[in-house]
Amino acid sequence: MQKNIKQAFEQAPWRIQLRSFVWILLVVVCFFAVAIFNLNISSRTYAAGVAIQDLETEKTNTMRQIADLRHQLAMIKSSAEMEKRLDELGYERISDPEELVYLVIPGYLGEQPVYEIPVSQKDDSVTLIKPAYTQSLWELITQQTLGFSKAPERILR
Amino acid sequence: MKSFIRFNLVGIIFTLFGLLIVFQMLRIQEFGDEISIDPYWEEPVTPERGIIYDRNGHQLAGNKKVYELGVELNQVVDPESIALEVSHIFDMEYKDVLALADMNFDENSARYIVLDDFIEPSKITQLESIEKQYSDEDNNGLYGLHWFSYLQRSYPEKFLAANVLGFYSFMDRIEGGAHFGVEEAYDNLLSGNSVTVVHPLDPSQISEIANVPPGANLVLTIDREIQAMTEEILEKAVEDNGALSGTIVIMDPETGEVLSMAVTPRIDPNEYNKYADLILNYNTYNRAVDTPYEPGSVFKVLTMAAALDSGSVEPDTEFIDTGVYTIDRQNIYNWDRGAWGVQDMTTCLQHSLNVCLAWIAVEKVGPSTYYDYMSAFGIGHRTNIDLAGEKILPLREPGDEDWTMLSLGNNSFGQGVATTPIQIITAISAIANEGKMMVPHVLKSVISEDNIINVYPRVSGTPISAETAETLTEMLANSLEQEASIALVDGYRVAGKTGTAEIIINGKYDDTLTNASFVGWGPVDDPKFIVYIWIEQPSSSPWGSVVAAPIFSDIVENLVILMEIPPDDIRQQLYAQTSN
Repeated sequence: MQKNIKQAFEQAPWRIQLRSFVWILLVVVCFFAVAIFNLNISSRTYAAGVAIQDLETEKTNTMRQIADLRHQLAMIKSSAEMEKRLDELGYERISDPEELVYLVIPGYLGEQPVYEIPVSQKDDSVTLIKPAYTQSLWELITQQTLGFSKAPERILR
Repeated sequence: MKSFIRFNLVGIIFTLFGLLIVFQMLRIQEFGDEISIDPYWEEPVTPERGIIYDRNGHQLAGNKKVYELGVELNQVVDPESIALEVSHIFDMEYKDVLALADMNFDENSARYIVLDDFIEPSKITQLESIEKQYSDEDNNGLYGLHWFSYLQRSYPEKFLAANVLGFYSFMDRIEGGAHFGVEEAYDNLLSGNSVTVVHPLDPSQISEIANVPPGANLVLTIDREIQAMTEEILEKAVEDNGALSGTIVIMDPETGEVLSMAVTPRIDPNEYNKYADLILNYNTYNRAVDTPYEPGSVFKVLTMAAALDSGSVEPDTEFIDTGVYTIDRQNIYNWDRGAWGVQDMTTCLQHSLNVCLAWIAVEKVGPSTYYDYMSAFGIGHRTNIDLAGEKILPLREPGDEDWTMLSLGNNSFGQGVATTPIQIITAISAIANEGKMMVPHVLKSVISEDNIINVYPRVSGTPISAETAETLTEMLANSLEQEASIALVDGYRVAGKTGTAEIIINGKYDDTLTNASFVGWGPVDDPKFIVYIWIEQPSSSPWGSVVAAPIFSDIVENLVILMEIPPDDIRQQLYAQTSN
């Protein structure tokens, strides 16, 4: 009788084999999925890093180009060049102050110089990697919990 | 059977796929191992040097892009091609370039050779087009030839205000630095802070980008148009008068702002290396601040200021000029050795009588009070103008080893005392500014990272009262008018004083060699400018009234136009209109 019950619940060998195969396949697939994901992220990280280096080089070259263009503009607008252009255009120097007519124009402040202000770089460095990529799971949970507990204060402010 | 084969086939395919992934990961790991020994390289980055503007925003000093051209010796394939193209474009000798490009690579001593430096971008453009031709033809003849850009200090106005700016020795790319003028005085602001940037060799390790802020930009008080006008007039005057050199300083007496500071000779800072002899032989870069000399009769203004302010004399105090004044058995004479008879204080200045001023200093003011006033005027002290290279000579005073009462007599008319032009104009500006002496400065603003920091005027001292300043200004204006001086300017009332100082040659004063000078300010009722002129050793005439006074008139005729100062009558009409 016990033998009969046992026999009644035994799987067919091919089913057992298939089940084992599927489990192994599942593990392998999971492993491959993780590996592919890791490879994908790594390659994108490298590509991003290379792109950043290229952009840094481009930024440096652009800054140099800007400086050079400023220099060229200054050369064109230099005192000697302006004098030459004035002569070519037929302007004459005022030799007698009596030739001048003075007008009072309310609100006129005279020539207002324009100075170029350097781009603000208040942050000493720009962090490229967000904390989420470097935090451990425990740190993330702790931060979220503390942040949640502080939220009402921020709202009250 | 079929399903057995199918399952095994799937398993083999997945296994192969997995092995490929593992292989790729091992390759990446191997790359990481290669760079783990030196995972980073450090690059010192020098920020862009700050720009210098004039007060109206015109660039006086900046930076331009230039290139360095060199060869990596271990990459050179065809040195003849490199030599051919480089010698043609950069006007170099073929054999010289070939000798460099064909050098043997040596890890320790010869890896990279510089062929040319400070190359203009236009030449690199030509080289790039040739390189493209080589590349299109699959020709590796230019392999190993590299070029990269960097910034070089540039001065687009060339000679203009070179004495004020100084220069940056950009040709020394390793130890170049700032010399003289604003470049040296404000080098710490202009140069910014060098930063060492760490670059990871593994691109995935980049976590920060270091920003290197450029140096601060400076705005000077110098007005480019006034500076250009001054330099043009000065150069013509030096040439016409056969003089050794000339200096003109124009300042706003109310603020101490230097509007113009012209000297001749001066250099082009873009080619500073060509002027080493000039600078070293004359031991001067900017005569206005670094060359003390005996000022002569312009110093009488300070003597009279001390006398009036101390109550020692009044404008109508009488003096009988006999043509000689004896101190310590030494005689002091007038400029013409003449006796001028009855004078008052105004005519003493008008006729520039040494005898009268020596009498005032010795018998009316006295040595103690006199030198207190001179010290208050800053004589013998630095003005602390913000330019590198200011030099002074101390003023001999009572108690000093070689001081005698004769020294006081001589000092009263500007001999036996040495001052720089900036010292004299700063001291006399107190008379143009209600008795207040302002600190002279050339910096107007500092611009850096969203901030504009303005430099505000500072009072250096108040050596005399406003009343004394007004009285003395009136005396000097009257003396010019009565003399019908050629320093006068139509339509504008100005005050001023000429100066003629003998120069010591071999221990004795030589009356054929002089320093001719003039100081003047106006408009008298509301001074907006003060001008000091010094012409060194004019050969046309030794007298300041002949040489320097007309220069003042020329300067002011142009200055009032550039500063938009209407003639006195129109200005007063306009003022009356706006008041109503």
